[in-house]
Amino acid sequence: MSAPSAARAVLAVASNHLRMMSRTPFYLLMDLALPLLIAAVPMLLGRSFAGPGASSAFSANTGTNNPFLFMLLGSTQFVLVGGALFNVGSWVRRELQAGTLESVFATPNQRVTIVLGVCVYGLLKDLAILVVSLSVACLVLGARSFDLRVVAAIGWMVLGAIPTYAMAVAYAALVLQLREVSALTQLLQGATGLLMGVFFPVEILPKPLQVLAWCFPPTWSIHGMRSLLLGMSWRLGALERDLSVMLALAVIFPVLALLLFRRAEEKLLAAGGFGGL
Amino acid sequence: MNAIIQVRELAKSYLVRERRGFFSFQNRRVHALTGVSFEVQQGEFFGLLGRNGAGKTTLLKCLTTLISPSSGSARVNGFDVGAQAAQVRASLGCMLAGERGLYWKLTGRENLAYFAALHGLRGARQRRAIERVSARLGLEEHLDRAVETYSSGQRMKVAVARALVHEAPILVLDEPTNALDVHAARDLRLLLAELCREGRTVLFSSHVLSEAEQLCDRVAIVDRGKIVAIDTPARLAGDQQQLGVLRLRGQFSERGVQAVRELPLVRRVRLDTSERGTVLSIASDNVQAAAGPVISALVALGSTVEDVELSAAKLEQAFLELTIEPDSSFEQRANASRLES
Repeated sequence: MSAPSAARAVLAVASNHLRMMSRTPFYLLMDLALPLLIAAVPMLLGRSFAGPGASSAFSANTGTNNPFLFMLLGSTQFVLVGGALFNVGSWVRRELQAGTLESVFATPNQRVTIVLGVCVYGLLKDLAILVVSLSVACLVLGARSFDLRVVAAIGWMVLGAIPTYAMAVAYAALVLQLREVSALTQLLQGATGLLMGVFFPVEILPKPLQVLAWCFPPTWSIHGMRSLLLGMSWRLGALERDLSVMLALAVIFPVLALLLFRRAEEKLLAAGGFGGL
Repeated sequence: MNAIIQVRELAKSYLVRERRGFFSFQNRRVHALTGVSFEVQQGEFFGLLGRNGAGKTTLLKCLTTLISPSSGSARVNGFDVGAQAAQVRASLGCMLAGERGLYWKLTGRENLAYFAALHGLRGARQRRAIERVSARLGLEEHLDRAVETYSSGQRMKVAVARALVHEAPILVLDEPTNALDVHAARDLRLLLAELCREGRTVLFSSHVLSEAEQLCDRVAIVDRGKIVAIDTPARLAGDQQQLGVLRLRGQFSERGVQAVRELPLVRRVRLDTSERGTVLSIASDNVQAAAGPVISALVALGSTVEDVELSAAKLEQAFLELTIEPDSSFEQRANASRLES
């Protein structure tokens, strides 16, 4: 299959998913509102525990005196990672059950292009979520000015979304084999939420967990956005170094994910296909 | 003639995990297909007949590249199902999961557009293809409603339209008339026959024998993963007529049936039990000569014979004769017959 045909297939899948999303508008509303709602909880919790001095204690621990934006970037990334797992992993499960996966996989496209189409749909949705979250935070709630750094943070998120979606493709490969998804998605979402420091700096985690956390692309993604928008120090001391890591992750993770997906596909073809429940 | 589908010694086996306890499992190897070989000619209407679990769907999935064979080879439209899977899929219009393979939140038109796009049809070509196929299936007035609002028959029609929209040379349909009412099933059969007359090759599976008899140029009877017969429906039925079938109604003892099975002129014996009573069917090379010894053996061993008939064999007869376990016990046969009836 030629590259233009594959690209057209990816777009067809992405637009089909956008069309289906338009039939369930409350899901989109939920996705758009969740980061703000999730960020509000630790903010209010912090105030209720620490009173007016909450901000200074937080600032001493994190290096920023803007806890709301810190939380919002964390909650947005949390929603995006959860969305990636849900969009791709649960998509496979849903379509497996509905019988549509087999129909789609019977078309003359590489099966991985279909998965990429779902990832593109997820990325577009993520972009909308992030833009809405940051716009509300900056323009409505006055968390900071809406300047070029915000645009850079959105770009950083898109770069970070590549390895994140690669993880989701690997997860989809797992779902295809395990045929079990709901509990696993929630477990992974919870674990990733803990590791990437949604509401706290990763540095307060125990050392072994910190090592694990920095092997995890969303941790770099969230930290980079915080560095860009909150002036927090870069993990490796400079933007270029952190960016190099992000670029490396954006190459290594997709390659690993594609290998895993191919392997899962081969195993399934040998075992009994894509039609069962 | 030109073989558009060629299958050589195709086999498929896989492991099935069976639960043995709360946490324990045991893997069992299932041989879904064994040494399957056949050819389908271009423009032919070819049927795969077999009971549930016989291996029909596994065979179709191997040919549509949704399952990889364990051994053997298959070529579809000149392409190898293993090495050229994408070209194989481009040659096929598939309906394997029936109405399940549709997006219910989308309209019929959106479903067709999506699958047409995945087959490379875009813009005006796509619109024309959707119009053509929906007109052919009488779907126009329903096309802009969500599939979830369709009747079962309408959903099946959209599923068939999806298989037709990109005008593939080969149609692969797995039990396409399931869930259709009598009229819709007849309409679909007419459409499939028409498509075949226009030059498309149709490979379909069914357990509705009258359907295969009516539509198929040739049928393969699949039983326990093997092709046990392959011919035109008329010849398959004809073979049984030459064979001759003696049907006896009455009460039959196990010993009596066993004795009949051992008579020299008897080829096959089948026992069917239904609400109307028990029927013993005996296939013989010389049914006239076999009738006397058969009845004598039965009566001598405690059976009663109430009625005797020589019936004209049809495809159903051939199917039953070919797919019944030859050495299964009396009870198993009776149970199988009860299940079938």
